[in-house]
Amino acid sequence: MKRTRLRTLILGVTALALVAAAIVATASARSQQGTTTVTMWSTMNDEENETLKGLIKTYESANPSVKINMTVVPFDQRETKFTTAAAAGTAPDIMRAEIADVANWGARGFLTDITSRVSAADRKDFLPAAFAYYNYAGKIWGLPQAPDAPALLYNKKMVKAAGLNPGKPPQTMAQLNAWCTKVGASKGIFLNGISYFVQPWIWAYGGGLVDPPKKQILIANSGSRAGMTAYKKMFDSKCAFPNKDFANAYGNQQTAFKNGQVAMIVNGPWSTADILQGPEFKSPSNLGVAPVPKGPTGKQGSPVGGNGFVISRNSKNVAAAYNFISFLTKGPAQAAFAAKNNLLPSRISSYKIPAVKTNRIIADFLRVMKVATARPVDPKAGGIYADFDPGVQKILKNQVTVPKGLLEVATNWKTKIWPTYTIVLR
Amino acid sequence: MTSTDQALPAPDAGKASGRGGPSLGERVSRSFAHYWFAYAMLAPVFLVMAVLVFYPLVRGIYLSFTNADQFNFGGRAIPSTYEWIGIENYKTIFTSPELKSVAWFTVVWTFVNVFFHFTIGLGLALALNRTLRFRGWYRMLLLVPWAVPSFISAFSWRFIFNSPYGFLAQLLQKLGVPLEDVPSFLSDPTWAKVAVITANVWLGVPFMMVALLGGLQAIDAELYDAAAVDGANAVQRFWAVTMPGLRPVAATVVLLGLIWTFNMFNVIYLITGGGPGTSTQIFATFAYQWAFVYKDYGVATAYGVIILSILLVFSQIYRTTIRRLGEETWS
Repeated sequence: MKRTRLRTLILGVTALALVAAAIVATASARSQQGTTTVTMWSTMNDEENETLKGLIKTYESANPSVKINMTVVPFDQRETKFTTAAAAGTAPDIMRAEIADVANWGARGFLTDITSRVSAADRKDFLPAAFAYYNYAGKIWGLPQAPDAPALLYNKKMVKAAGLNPGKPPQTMAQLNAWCTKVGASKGIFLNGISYFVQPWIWAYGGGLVDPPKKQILIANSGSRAGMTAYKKMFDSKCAFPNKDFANAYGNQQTAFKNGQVAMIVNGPWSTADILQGPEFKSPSNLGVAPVPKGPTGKQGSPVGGNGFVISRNSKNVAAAYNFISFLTKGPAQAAFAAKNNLLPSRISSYKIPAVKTNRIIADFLRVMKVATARPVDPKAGGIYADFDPGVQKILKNQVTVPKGLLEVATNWKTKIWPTYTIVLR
Repeated sequence: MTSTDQALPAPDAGKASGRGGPSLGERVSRSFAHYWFAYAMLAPVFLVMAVLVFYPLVRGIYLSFTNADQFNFGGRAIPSTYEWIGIENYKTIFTSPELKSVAWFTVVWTFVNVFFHFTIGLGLALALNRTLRFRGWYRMLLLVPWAVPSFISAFSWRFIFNSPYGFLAQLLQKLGVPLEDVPSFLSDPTWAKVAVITANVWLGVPFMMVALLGGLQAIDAELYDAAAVDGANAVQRFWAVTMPGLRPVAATVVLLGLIWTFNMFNVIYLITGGGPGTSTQIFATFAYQWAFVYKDYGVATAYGVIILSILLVFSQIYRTTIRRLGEETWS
């Protein structure tokens, strides 16, 4: 009895192994018959991936010898998954990377240098703020697809009810304060405890994060301190929504804005699809989009983020992979993503395409992009937020003063990220 | 724990060979001849342990003395270039400004949690140890926190504590508390500590309750009768019969609870992520931060080694306690 069961088991396992071997054999045999299979990991959301699938079909019918094998990887797992695979030499040919990933992965030897493949015309056509992230150590490591930057989003109805002109959004931080007060107690603006959204204030008041060429840490300098102080002042003011929960702040901010409990928030284009589903924005024209205002010295900035495509070092099909990513970052593909998903094109020329031109959200965010600031391009720059967030939260909760809190952030950056940099205090 | 069990026979063997008699080699070969079948049966387990426990352990300890980070770690396709740097990583940890608060909250977290796990668990166990109607139902309901996957519970608690949209904040507002006075459950340093501990107490009570209930049911009913005949009241019976009778089970589960709670990662990670600031970071979550946020694998593994050393002390206490209790019970 026992013996027969064992025999069945052995037979079963052998049969499975044979089937698996057969599948592998046929698969590799097929790939040898002149078609190139390009593998790709996409980090887009469901709606965007639908657009991508359509573009893949278009591309495959135009290039019958190429097959694109697309796998969806959740955005927040991309780092772990790609770096693990790349270190083992099993990464896909094409990876969709967030801009902060590019210099990091390039420095770690995970990417193919595509400098020689990018034409001079292309280099001029990409938005400089977005393309900057793909240039590291004198080489080009990828192509930008969809840049973004947070903007001041406002509820036109609420603003109008407070006697303000929704067609003339605040230009300066002082005007922003006035708007906030005018809208009323706890309804003016929702300010986050996430450091990413504090950056516009830091830049507006003349501060900065780090300066890799000069090897300087700027987050504790006088401009940064002034920016943080202004942010905290608005956070504590009566007109600010009582943000009592840093752990849930991002979701709470969306809820409050969608339901008309707060008139202004600071968020990026990625959030607009969600916002437009809220009861206050049944008519999409109620959503106002403006650049985050200027500071007292006329400076202005909003962190540029976004995504693009890179080719892994272990790719055996670099030519085919490059061909496909350049297809994905050209006008027609960008117009498709713009029309269906409100993704901002990364090429200047794409903004002349009618489908892009008539998209009002994109037109609004283009004005934001024009005054946006590139985050430092450095392999380690992605790590700054790990200590920046706790620092901002401690300051907002009065656990430390602004100068002490920012100095803590600067010291953490120095000890954990850039030991050779100097901390600038002036 | 298992690794120490495996490592322990070695010093004993050394002592035995010093006392004369057959040499170590002879004894090993004789023992092998005698027990080869047992060794053959153990081999697969040992192999799995070697791959899953011993190798990572040794490599982790080695890495804690290197400057391994994301840029030099390498992989199958890329050569590794990290170097031996001695005790630098340990120095980094012991001089870091966060160490004091992280260490202090780790201690508070561990002991406060286990204290409430035990007292509430014991109370419920005592209540359920009597015959009452629907006892089976109560038991089942009280097991719910244990039956739900802990990350789902953690997310639910995060929602309960959400301010102003969560259950607690809404309830307080319904009761007439103005929004300004609703506490910031997850962004006030003290409240955040209370919040994560509350969630973990809720999660940990069922295990204690079940374990202690088992202990209570093992106490001989005749002892209670005898105590009653001697004129002991309920309180006296509790201290003279219940507590001593419960000791073997209680000591075991409390020590296990200390070890688990010390290493409890997901509740804090999912509810506050260690924030606000670093006020709810414990060793386990902070080591994660070094490994997966700063990607400094040297310091992260050094944290791992420190956590392991602390747990070794715990498990040593646990072993001695178990042995002593065993002697008490059987002699």
